Amino acid sequence: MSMWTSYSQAYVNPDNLVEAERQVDSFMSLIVEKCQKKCIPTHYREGDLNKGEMVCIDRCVAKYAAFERKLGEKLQEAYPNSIPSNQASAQPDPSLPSF
Amino acid sequence: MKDFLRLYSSLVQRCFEDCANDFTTKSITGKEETCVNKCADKFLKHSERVGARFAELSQQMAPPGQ
Repeated sequence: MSMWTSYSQAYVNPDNLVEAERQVDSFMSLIVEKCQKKCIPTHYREGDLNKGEMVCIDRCVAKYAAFERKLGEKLQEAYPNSIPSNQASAQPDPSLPSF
Repeated sequence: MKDFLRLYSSLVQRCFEDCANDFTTKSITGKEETCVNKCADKFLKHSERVGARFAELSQQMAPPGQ
């Protein structure tokens, strides 16, 4: 991706950095929310994470990534035309549900 | 492309929330795999149906002649 190769040059396109940061933030906040729900009970008896919670969080993040990979493959099977192989032909896919 | 990404994001969130319950391991268990396959199929069919009904509604609400 061009936003990563530009790191090796002196000039970095600030728009790409902002966009990348925004995407990482939203991705991160999703995982934080989901894993909190799965791993951290709401009684809040103490402020520190205990060992069990730490292990659960590690596994939760890894599992979320595994789910993303698996579901990405499933989606590609279901809608093989929706990821354009060439950017010039950016036609909306009529079979894709639109929101 | 944006719609696709939004669909992907909703799909992952929904299926992770409903199917990821076994945190004794980092990888997806057999039970979770079955759940995720069915979840994905159901979610996609559900999205398509909602889209179809929404399109019908929009057409009904549009003034005649458009």
